[in-house]
Amino acid sequence: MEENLQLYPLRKDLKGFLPPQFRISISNILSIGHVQEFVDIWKGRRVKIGLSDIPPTAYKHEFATKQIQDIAKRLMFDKKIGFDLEKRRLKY
Amino acid sequence: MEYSFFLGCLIPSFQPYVESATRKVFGKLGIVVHDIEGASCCPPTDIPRIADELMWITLAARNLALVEKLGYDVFAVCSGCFETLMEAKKILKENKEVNEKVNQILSNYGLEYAGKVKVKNVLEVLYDDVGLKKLEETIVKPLTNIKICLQPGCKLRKFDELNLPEKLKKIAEVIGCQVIPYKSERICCGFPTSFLNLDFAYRERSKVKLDEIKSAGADCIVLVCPACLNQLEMAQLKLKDEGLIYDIPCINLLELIAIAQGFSATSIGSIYRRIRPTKLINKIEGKTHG
Repeated sequence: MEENLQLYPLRKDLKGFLPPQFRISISNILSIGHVQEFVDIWKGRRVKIGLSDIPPTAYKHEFATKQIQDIAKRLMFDKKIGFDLEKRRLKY
Repeated sequence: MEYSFFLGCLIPSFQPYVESATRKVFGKLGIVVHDIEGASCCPPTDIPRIADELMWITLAARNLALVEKLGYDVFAVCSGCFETLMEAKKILKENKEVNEKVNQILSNYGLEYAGKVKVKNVLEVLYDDVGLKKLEETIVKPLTNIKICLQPGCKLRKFDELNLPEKLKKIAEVIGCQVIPYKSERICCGFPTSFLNLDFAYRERSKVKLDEIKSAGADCIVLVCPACLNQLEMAQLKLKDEGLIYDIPCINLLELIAIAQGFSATSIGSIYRRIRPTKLINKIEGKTHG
């Protein structure tokens, strides 16, 4: 499959074993470290109420996301669910 | 007193008024809060666990290892994060094989989980560690003119020995609120079922609760779980399209404590939500009589 994708990059998996309802959540955890995306509109609002503009979690620290992706790779979780670590999204 | 604050996902990214209120309340109580730099999603027990249990527990253990590095017990406001951290801690303690596997992976990032820190729910911190007497001493504006219905949520009930729903009620009463009981208080808000059947979640769960809460005459629903807050707000908006008007604000307990401690709702950010609690805030501030 990997080899085929090199030759035919537009070919991708059509389905995986993840239930559709959980795809976004799991994909978000692997791509940004959280299930919920952080939208820019909250930056200003957070500052107005005395918080840092970006939460001091994986939202702010790229090292955290990299560690999560590395863990996924070590456990072959990315392969299991069909997650493209380079593109940071599910292949299907 | 010093704690690590586990933020989770939904609170810092969508309900920052809860984070703001928590920091304000803890500051007033003289509690030092430490951020867990680089913490991730807890992750929820019911989502990634379906996909791969070892992945789930390794991510949870990574968060716990970051907490251990800080050296303080950790508390969570989010009931889902609390559940995950508690469950992961239990498994890591009881299953030596999983513990070893997880620690082997964590060692690649200079992390180790040794089981040294306690995981607490924010209600335990306020009720058990701080105590109702000390909490009451910080109250400058008791909320005696508002009636509330509680939504403890399923996850608080999962840990019977901690008696968290009762602690939620006692704390709400200490800040002056009149707690009105209602029949479906123990029923789920509908959030977990919304993944499978949104219509069922809104109609058979959220609506049942909202109907009773409205009949009870509550000024607001008080909870700690961000998923319950999300669900009960979204349900009201959805049902509004069908002509069912509830207009009941869903307020995190920490916001009410902060207001009772003298912080303004604006400084907390309580307005940044789908259902603005204008009527409730006016009532608390004595601008209207209800």
